[in-house]
Amino acid sequence: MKIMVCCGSGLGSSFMIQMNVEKILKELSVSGVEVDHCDLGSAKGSGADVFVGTRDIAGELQQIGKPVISLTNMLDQDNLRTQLNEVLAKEGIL
Amino acid sequence: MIERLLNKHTVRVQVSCATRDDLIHEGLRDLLAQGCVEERYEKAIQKAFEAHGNYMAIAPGFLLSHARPEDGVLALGMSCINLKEGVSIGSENDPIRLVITLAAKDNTSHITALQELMHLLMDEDVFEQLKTTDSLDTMLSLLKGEETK
Repeated sequence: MKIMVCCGSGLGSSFMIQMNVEKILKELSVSGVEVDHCDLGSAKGSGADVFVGTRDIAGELQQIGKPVISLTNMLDQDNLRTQLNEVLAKEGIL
Repeated sequence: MIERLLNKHTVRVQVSCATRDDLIHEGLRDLLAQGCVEERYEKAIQKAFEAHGNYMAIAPGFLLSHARPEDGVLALGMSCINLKEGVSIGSENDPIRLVITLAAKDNTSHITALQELMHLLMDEDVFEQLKTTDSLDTMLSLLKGEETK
């Protein structure tokens, strides 16, 4: 399974969110999940199973047709943890 | 690494801004002066906002203003300003109080700096002080990771 964190440029906020995703996956003792980041333009062709982005680009990510985690506050780890839990449960990882 | 990028030449407090474009412009002032970016980088950031909305407002009151390396970045650079008055840009994270502007030279060299920055901002007390302090010395100490009271 692959989680792709996206932002408009693929190098600022997406990377910062990726750090939190990796941290939470570690806390949850989830293994075998690959996490990467990219720009919006590359998202569709990335073949990822789950996408994460800030709220403003979540609409564009939803068009890909895969689960999307939408974040308003990148520093809010609890919210990210809750959403990750839900998605991983649905995908049968947790 | 972060103290090498964010220092008295690239950090300012209580800057006056009224619009989103002011935030972009003021954030770039020191990076232009230091030769980190070409003038066209400013337009590229504005375009990124127009294309994708306010995705760079990534936490309450916080804007990470940036475009891509090929948009006119000459050298890795970062600047940090907090604002005299919050600026509304139409984001759920309004009003913006703190702007960090990033000029990334490639896809990897800024990663250590962003990791350090993230670590700082996750501390709610530090994050709040960065947004509101009117002292440059306090701001610089906070960015160095020194405790301030």
